[in-house]
Amino acid sequence: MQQELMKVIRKKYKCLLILLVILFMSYFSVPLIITLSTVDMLRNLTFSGIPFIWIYTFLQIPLTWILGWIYFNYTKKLDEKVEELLRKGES
Amino acid sequence: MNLTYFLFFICIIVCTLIITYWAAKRSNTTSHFYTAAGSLTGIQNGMAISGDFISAASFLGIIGAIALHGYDGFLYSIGFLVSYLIVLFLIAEPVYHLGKYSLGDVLCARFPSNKVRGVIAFGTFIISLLYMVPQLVAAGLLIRLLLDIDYSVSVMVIGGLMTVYVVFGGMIATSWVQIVKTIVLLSGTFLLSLMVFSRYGWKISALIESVRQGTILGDQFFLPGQLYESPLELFSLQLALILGTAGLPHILIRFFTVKNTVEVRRSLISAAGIIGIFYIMTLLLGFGTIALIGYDVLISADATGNLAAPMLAREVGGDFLLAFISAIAFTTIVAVVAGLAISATTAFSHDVYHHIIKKGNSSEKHQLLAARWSAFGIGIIATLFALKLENINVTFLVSLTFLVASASIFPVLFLTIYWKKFNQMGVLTGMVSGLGISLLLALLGPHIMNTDGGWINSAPLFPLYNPGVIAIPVGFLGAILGSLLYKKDQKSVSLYEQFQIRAQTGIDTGGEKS
Amino acid sequence: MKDLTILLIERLCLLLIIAFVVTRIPGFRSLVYKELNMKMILLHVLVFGLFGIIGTTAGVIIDTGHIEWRQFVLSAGEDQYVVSLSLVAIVIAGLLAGPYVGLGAGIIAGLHLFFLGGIGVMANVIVNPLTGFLAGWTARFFSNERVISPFKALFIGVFPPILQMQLLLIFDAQQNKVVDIVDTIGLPLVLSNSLAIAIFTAIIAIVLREQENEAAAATKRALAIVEDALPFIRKDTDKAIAEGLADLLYERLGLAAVSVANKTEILAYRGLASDHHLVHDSVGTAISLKALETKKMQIAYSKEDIQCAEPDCPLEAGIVIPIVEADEVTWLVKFYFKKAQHIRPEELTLAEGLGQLMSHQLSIVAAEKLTAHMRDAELRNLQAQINPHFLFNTLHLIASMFRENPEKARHITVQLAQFMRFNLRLVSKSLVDIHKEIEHVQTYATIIQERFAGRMEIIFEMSSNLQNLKIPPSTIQPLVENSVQHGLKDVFQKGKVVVQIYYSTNQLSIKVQDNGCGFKEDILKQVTKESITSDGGTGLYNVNKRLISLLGKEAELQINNLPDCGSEVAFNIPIHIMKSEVTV
Repeated sequence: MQQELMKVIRKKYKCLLILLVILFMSYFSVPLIITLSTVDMLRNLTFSGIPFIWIYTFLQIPLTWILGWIYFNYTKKLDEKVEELLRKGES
Repeated sequence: MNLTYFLFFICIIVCTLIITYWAAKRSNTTSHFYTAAGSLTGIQNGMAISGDFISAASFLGIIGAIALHGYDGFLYSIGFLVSYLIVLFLIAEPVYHLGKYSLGDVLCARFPSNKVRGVIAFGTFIISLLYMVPQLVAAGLLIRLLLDIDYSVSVMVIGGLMTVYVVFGGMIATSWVQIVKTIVLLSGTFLLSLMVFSRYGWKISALIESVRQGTILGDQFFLPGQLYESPLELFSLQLALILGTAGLPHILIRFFTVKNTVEVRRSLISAAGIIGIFYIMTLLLGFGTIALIGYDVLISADATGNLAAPMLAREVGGDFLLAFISAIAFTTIVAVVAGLAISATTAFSHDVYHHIIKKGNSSEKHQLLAARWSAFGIGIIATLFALKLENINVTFLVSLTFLVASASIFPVLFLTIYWKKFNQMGVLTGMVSGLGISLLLALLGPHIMNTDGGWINSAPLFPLYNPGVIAIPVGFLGAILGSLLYKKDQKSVSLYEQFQIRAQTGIDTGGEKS
Repeated sequence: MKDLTILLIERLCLLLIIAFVVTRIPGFRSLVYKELNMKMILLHVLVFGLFGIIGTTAGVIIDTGHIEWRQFVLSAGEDQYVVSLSLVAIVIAGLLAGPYVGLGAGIIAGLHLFFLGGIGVMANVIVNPLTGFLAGWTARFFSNERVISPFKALFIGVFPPILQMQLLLIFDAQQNKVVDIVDTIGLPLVLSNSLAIAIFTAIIAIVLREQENEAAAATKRALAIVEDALPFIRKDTDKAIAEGLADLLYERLGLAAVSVANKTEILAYRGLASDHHLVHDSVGTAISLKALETKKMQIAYSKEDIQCAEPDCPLEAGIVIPIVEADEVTWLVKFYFKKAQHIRPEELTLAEGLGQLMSHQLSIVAAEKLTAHMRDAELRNLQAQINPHFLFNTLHLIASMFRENPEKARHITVQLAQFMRFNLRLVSKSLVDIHKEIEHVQTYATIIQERFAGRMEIIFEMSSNLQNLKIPPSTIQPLVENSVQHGLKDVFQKGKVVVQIYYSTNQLSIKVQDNGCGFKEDILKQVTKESITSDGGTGLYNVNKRLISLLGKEAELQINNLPDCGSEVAFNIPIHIMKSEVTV
């Protein structure tokens, strides 16, 4: 029982790790980009009139929502697995 | 004093008091008082979390920052939003599974000891107070500006209201004040941004063109580098922002108010949704302010830009709308301070009084009484501080709160949940070193040590405005070294697997517990 | 700004009057209880939509900053703004009847505003349905009371005008004077609308509470009366019940007159006009018959309905309350009033409640009686069973007598037959003539004496005035049997059983004495309380039980040991009990 639960938890950790890496990469790439690029680069790199860095930063908002949504759905599946384990443990 | 403003404020006060009256009839057990007896749904709790989190600093401060500094102001808000994912991924579920009323419960689930409980309660108390004081100060300044009431009177009004909510209504009143605040705030800013948009014929390009003319920064407005000169400063701030929320006790204890893990996740998802939408709107409002009002007018009214939103409201809707937006700002502050007061109250009455002083043996009735009295005491303490510290730099205190949270509570919580070899000594050293280093660096930093009118008139010993990049690692290091050097406590290591199962799934696989 | 506020409040007072009338619509209650079907929703959409249109008409016109003092709003010019009061109606629709009625009514009010025109027409059109929907949703979200409390309504009422102003600022942002308009009308609208909404919800709450309080008070009174009526209901004759009830109702309700009738005739009458409303009159007026037939309360609002033959009868109105027992009307209670106006809703509620409660109580009493009867029948069945030993012994006796004394054998056989016949008949009767009972005991005595010839003697002593007295059957014989079997068990000579039956002025007393061993101390106390099965002694217990259940506590058995030797079992039947029991 304990071992099987640990298996589920390790799965969760794996998912968390991936999500966290994506999150940190996208989030900390913003200051990185700002630091590495020159003012001219930032000014000239535009996307239909709007500076690229704006769009990139703005995209963090939907990205946050998407990552949250992925986690929500993934953990729902894990919850079902735990439920199943519990039911087996009882019977 | 303008009658319209006054009536709107009265209306808000009456409404929140009605909520409190209604809640007071229900707050008759400790479970109701501390956690609303887990009665909230995920969505409701999400709204309450947003209400707890979006402070006057966010509503007024960020709109102002965007209006004045463009991109850098916006980047600030992104940090606040993304921090919710950290909470969701790493902290929320274990906290819900392990704790009952307070963060002390969570840590004591692994290290049952009064020392641990005491140090966490102390941390909670300090952070809540650090955050409460600037909110109260900001509220006092805002009301003085809008209603032309004396600063001390307005601070006392807000402090008094906060105390009344928490003393009589406990978590139920606090939650519903926050929910109402979120609804009003969101719909108010939404309508305000629609008004701004309609001024520009619903064309975003017209708005941006107008922004270019309004700001003195010109094209620079849309580029980074206005607020944060060095990349290290920027990175440091972002680190404190993203990890800070996960160490804010008043946010974390909100997870106890729902009934299962799915609802915990749902509350965070909806909070992230609401906060995200809110920051998109602040972006629009910031643009609108600079476009419609212009840099010079804005800066002449208030150098920090905090009056951006009220000024914008007056511009597009006259006194009537200004009164409404001010009332919203007022609600915002009241809801946040109430949330902070309840977290400080829980730390004191549940952790210190019930567990440490009474050794867990006080009756339900006494606990409730103790909770109400400590809420009363905390209300008075916070109000007194705010009265004394009228001239304090509000943004500095807010950033200090995030710094302390991310350098002390977050490392300790994180390691408790995820590190096998962590032990009781680690908790103590982690909390102490995190708290100490953040306060020390802030004291030695340019906010306080400043040749240009700082409290300590000399060159700063520590160069960064945002010391997160040093303080957070020190907090972690303190906790890790503490537990490695003091290895006597091996029991919690061998029980770690069971603890992990309990933290992640809530299932108790036997073995001893506290 | 002050002028405008006062003007708006004045106009809203007009609306409140209309609103008050709306609360009198019969379907209004269903609205409050949220039992809405499609038809009712449509109806309410129409009513509140109309209400909204009236609200708009009662509004004010603003012409670039100054107020047009027009009576009513029937049209608006290009640069005039219609300050509509329709939101009050729409918010109330939403709060009371839910989001959909709010939405529907809002659409109607919005369309009306669209045709009026003027500045800010878009905002005015949109704000109505939006507010109706949101108000309904908010009421559901924040409150599960039937009628939202006035304070909450006050708070909710603040927001619709704010929304209206904001929509105005959104849709007509280009026109600078819009900001002026908002500044002029914003606060007055907020104040007047929220006040009006709060007052309206308060009116509704008060109306409802009043109705409920009245109903509660009437119910309480009805309950108290029924409680007091319980002793009468338990009476056994219809006449006694009727008189008790009539007295009680007349006294407690302060009515002009009360009559209580069974299905066919009036059994009791109290109050005015008793000179011609007589007891024993038959039940025959149209409304009484209708009440009998429909089993529903009937109300007579005029002299004609009462159908009194006497032209000067002071009674002009009445309520006929049928009391239903087991799906059949058993009683008709009539309340008489001097004037039709005296019948207030309270009286009707009270009468209805009384009828229901009494019906209920009667059913309970009937059920109680039924179980008592059943228990009685069961007991009699038990009594009817002849002790098998007695039967065998007697048959044995007969068989042995055939040879030596066939005549006597024949006699005993006849006696046995008689005894058994009586025993069987017992089952069907609850009271028998005392002579029959005595005969029964004598039959038994004959058989016993023959069997125990020489061992004992059974003597009867009785007064001569025992005609027409009835007692429960088989009450004396078991006492004699008890004496023979237990008292004289070990007596082989000169055993004596004396049966005394005396009828004095106030009671019939029956006594059975023997000169045997008497009761053991421990048995003496228990013998009537529980059936002692160990030595076959259920006889006394059964008799006692039957005496009590048929005649009451007064008739219970009294058992004593006699000073020298032997015992005495006696019971008395007070004469008043016997008289009333005769009819059963």
